[in-house]
Amino acid sequence: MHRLKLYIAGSTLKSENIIKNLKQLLEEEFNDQYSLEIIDLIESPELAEQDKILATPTLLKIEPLPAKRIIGDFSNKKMVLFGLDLVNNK
Amino acid sequence: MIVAKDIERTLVNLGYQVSSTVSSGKQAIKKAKTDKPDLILMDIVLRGEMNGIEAAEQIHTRLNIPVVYLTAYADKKTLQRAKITEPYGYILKPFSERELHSTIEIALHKCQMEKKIKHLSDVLRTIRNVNQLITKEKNRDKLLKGICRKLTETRGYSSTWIAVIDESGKPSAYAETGVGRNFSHLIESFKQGNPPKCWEKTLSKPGVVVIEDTSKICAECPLARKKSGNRILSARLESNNKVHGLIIVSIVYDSPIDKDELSLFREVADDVGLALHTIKIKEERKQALKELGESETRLRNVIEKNADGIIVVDNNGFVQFTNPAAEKLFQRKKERITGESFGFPVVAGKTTEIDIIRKDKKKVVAEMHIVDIEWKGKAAHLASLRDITKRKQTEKALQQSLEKSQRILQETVSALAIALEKRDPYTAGHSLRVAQLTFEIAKQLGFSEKQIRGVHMAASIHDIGKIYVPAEILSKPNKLTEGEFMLIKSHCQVGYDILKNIEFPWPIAEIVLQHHERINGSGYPQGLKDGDILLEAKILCVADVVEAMCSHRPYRPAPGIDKALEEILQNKGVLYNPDVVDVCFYLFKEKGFTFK
Repeated sequence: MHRLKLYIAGSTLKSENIIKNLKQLLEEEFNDQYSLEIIDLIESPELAEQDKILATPTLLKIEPLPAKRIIGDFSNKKMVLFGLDLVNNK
Repeated sequence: MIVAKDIERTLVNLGYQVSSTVSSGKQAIKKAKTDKPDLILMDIVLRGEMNGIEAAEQIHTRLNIPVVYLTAYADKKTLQRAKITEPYGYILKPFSERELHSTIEIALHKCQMEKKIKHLSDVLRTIRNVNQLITKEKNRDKLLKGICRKLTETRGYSSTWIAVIDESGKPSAYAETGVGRNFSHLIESFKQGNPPKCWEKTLSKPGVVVIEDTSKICAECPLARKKSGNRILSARLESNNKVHGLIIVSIVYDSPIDKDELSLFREVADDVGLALHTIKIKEERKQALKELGESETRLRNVIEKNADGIIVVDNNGFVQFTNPAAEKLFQRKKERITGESFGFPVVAGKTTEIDIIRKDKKKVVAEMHIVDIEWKGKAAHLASLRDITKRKQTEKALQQSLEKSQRILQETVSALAIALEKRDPYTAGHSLRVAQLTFEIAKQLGFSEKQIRGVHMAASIHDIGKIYVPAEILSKPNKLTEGEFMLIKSHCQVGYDILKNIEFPWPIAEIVLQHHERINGSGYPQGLKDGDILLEAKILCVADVVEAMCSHRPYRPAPGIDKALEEILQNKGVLYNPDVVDVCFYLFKEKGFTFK
């Protein structure tokens, strides 16, 4: 089971696209063996401080360990999986 | 005195020179000072207050001239007193010539040996002093000055001169002692490229160059004093096959330079050469380090003063470096960013837009550019972050104003369409219905949102040119004359003329112009064929035909949708674009499309 957290800043067209693309990527990669929690830091600003998020979009892999954090453009699947340290974990 | 004269004669006979013969201790000391004899024969009983032992004591301590006692006294007390003055011999009267000769020879030899030992110890002390200085003194100029001083003080050179030369052979540093005011003159001639011959000779080959007689060849040289026994030694200073300079000393020597003196000088020259080499290497390294430091400072300045925020992130996404612009961007002190997890930067294109969450919870849009670098020997990523919030706002404002102007255009076009409809009540709603069908066909054909808006707008005013056609002709219930029909046909061209100068983001005027063209070239006004007709015009054409056949006209009843679909199917690929026909058929038959 893959547990992930996505931090976005406001529900904009951009963040909607990010969510859509990311869900598609995770679906392709893990079928339904994943959970993706989406946190909007405009709605819950206190979480930025608590989770020490400097910028968005940030994607956090909580499980499997080790925890990994990536930031940037998640449209390249290879790069995303590499950044999350999931390349050999398929 | 008689004895003294006898002895003098004997000495001359033995081949010695007698410089003076005196009878008092005072005179003896005075003569010893001026004559500087090699040896003094001294009686213990003398004229005057001073006895021989007292005189010998003073001569020994002040002038260091060897003394041999020549006396009749031989009691223990006298011998004891004489011993303190460190005599080189003791001859008891009466004595034979042989006895005198051998005692003198032994005394002279002993004196020679002592001088040699003293000389050797001087030499060793000099080397030790120079070496101590070399290990202690790291500043080149101070070292050279110190060596000159030590050599003059310890070894007794009358002058010492050291010159350091650079890569091109030009002198770059000097030190001297005892050369005096002619020193600057010497340096000047060296700088001008006119060094004394002995210097050139010294620099050209290893080993010590000795000038035994300076009076002849060194007439002009201030190092060479016109004093008898003045000799000059010079050697180049070298190490690791490189010549660093030369050392020249002048020394007063009463015999040809012996090998101890030469080896001392050689050793000093070697040591100084090595010291200069070591200092040079250290200076070069220091310079290299300084330059490295300077270039690092320059680079650091470039980064520190960069207008874009720069952070360096390691492979685990932790921030390793933050520049002042990044502090401003994040609204956090660098201590609160460095060490924090920024995240491993994942990028797809050249730049990536991210939102920076500031401390005040406001977000700033930044463009992130990633370069892979090495940081402290490890792979890292340099993220340069440019605040594009203002640019985004401007873009948004521009977009809004564009949308607004398009909306105004749309409204203007709608007003035109309405004006046309009002004029011709019989075809009221025709354009809007055609636009409705056109919209759906374009959508089904996979047109982009923007293209759909364009073709919809064109459809809503496709008959705008009919403004030019008199209302009576448009609503004439009978068949039209050829002239009237010609007039109606002109509406495409007229519509084009009305619209052509309006700046639409779509080819509205062309679509309107071509909406009566047929793909086999049988249409009007230009009789264009398939490839020359815009797809938008082909859609509009089918929609126009279908809607018209579904509507009543003053001159006929409505044939209805079935007849309309029959018409387009029959002429599919002849008059009408087959894809458009298929989509239209599908819309009515499968999707249940109806005109509003």
